[in-house]
Amino acid sequence: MTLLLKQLFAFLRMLNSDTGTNQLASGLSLGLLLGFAPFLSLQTLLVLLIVFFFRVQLGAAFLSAFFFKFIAFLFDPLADKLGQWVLEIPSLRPLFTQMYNMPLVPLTRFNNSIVMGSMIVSLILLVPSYFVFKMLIVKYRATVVARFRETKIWKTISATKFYNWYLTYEKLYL
Amino acid sequence: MADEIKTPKKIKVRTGMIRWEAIVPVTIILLLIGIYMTLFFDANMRSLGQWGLSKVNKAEVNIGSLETSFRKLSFRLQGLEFTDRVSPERNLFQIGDIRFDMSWDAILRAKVFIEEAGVEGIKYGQLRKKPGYVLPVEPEKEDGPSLFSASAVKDKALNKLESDYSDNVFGDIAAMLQGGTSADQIKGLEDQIQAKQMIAKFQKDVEQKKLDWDQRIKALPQAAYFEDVRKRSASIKTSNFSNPQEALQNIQAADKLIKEVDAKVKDIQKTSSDAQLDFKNLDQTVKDIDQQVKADIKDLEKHFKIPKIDAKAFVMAMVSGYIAPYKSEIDKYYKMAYKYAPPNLVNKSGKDEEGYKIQPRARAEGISYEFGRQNSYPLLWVRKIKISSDLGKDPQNGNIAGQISDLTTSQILTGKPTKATLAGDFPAQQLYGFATELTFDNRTPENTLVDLVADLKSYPIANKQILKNKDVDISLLKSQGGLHAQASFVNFRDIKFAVASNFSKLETQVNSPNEVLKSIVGNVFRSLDVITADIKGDGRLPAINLSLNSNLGEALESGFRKELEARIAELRKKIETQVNETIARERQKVEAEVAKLKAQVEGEIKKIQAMADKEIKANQEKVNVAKKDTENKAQDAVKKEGQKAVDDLKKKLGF
Repeated sequence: MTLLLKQLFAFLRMLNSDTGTNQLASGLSLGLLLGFAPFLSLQTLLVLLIVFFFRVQLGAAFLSAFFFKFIAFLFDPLADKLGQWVLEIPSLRPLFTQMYNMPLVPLTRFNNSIVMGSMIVSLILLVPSYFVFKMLIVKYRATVVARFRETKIWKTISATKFYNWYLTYEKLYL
Repeated sequence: MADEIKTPKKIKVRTGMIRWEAIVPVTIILLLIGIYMTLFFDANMRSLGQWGLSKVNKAEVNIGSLETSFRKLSFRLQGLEFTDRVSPERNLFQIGDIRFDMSWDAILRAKVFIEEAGVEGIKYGQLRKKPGYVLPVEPEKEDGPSLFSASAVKDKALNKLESDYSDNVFGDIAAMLQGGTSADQIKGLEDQIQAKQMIAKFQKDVEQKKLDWDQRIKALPQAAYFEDVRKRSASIKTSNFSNPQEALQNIQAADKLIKEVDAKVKDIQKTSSDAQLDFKNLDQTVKDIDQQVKADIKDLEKHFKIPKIDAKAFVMAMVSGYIAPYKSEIDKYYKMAYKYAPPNLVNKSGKDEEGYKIQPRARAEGISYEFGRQNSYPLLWVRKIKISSDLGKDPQNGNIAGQISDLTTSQILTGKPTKATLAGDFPAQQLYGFATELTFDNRTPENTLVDLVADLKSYPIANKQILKNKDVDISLLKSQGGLHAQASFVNFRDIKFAVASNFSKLETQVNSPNEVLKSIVGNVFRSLDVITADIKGDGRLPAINLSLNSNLGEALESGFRKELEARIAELRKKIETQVNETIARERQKVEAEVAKLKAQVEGEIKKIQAMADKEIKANQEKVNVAKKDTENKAQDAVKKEGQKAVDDLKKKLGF
């Protein structure tokens, strides 16, 4: 829990800084993939490994996964229909039969209509979402953060010694 | 103070793509998981298994040891003991060893395949080291429906035989054998004859009807009225009218009189039809009294406990006592199966049994497609489970062997039905020739079939009480039993079964305070070498139609028939005579009163009707005569006028 909170604070800090745009955007878009995938599945494990071992912002990934889990739940009826339609395409049947009977692939649970529908949607959205998130982060920094820094309250706070001490602490330990 | 703060050293932050610093924590986490799986997982699973199984069994379940291996995908459970809820110092059953290895090849394909599993060391009814705890009994409604509850018997006509023959047949016979029933005893029950009270009430009703009809008939037009009509009719002229105006007035007066009498006739007719309806009701009441007399005779027969000398009644009396303990056991497992069966197999809503369909999965789970092909793994496939209990290790074990083959989630993929066979002997318990074969065929899911054949060639029976009540106590001191059972269960709803049992080498004990009863039952048992009992049943659960047949029933029937037939006939005659005598006089009286009332009312109405008809007819004739006379006169006048005109013309012309 502490680790998770630490990652969430790191996400907020990074979001309000000028660095890590790619890490944040990739974290958010991989979180989308996590949100749409079932918890116990091979693809969840793979995304978690990517998130852990590559420099992707963990807080962003978890926050995004939490948010998109709800979206995926609301999207279930449509995903079910889409998955059924794909899984029942006769020309794809030999491919699915092959996949169903080969090692590891069935662990993705692709043969379930909702999993298949959600997987298709999340894969389609993965790359565009990366660029959309990146653009939103840049815009957020340019508008919200920059404006906030111009406010009197922020200027007052940033002029205090307490804030300077915090900056020193942050540079040393965080 | 601010001057004292030194600019911190720039810490070099690695910014490559890979998060190398995550390797150590992940490795630590994996190591911790590995340590937990090695040291604590088995112990935790054992505790969890004991807790869960105890909940299902509703009594303590123990697991001796549980070993799992992630590397080998193996599972081994030893010393599984299920406490018997009824006698917790014993185990219901225990299994020495359960083991199986799963295939990595199948697991990587998200399937479970077990080539061979072993279940060994099965024992029944063994003494426990210490009595197991029994969980408190939950309210019955949570367990699901009962196969044998009173409501199931009543509502679903289950065991119709049982409800038909639940009387204490031996008690009735004992009472009958004790002595005759005197006419005085029957006379003392006169008040219980409901037909008598019914007749008394009917008499009062008839009296009331009499008064009512007197009034209604008085309200009808009487002779004085018709005399008046006649007088009014006489004053109406039918001829010699001085002018047409007078004729018209008389005809109108006659018409008015006819209409008035006609209205009275309608009243009379209404009264007549009401009378017919009332008499019909009275006739029906007389018929109801006849029915009540028959019912009273039956009630009195019950009061004097006239026994049914019927083979089925004897069989039912014997079998009910014998199978009562087994029924509660069957019910216990039926409720358990009902509670844990998936909803697509059991209709738990209790509604619409006829139109019940296999339920689809919930929408949120989606549809899982199986892209199977021949020789591929189904989701679960246990090719063989070997079951054995080796006699050599423990005499209590029994000497049984069996196997379950092709236990799977998709028989369509494996192409084979699931079969279970078990055969052997339990010499310590003197159970020989035990063999059972169970087939579960779901290759065509719309026609699922469960087929069972079971045999037990020989099993001992000692000190088994068949029937015990205040009138008779029948026990099998020693006997050898045999059993053959066959059952089929289609679509988990339609059941058909037959159980044929036989009991040989009989040593029985019959006790009864009534010596004659004791002698007859004793002789019947002595005369039989083998007792057979066949139970057949079929129907849709839980409504099963049962039929029972036994040579014991027939033997008892013929034994008692000789002794009791004459006595029963005599008592029946006494009762009939007494009932008929009690009500005969009143019945005749009331029937005579009804007949008298009918004759009186019908006669009066007929008389009044005749008078009315006569008056109408007379007046109608008068009208006709008057009309004719008027017409004739009019014609004569026309003729005279014509003749006069002709004569005048002749005069003018000088003829």
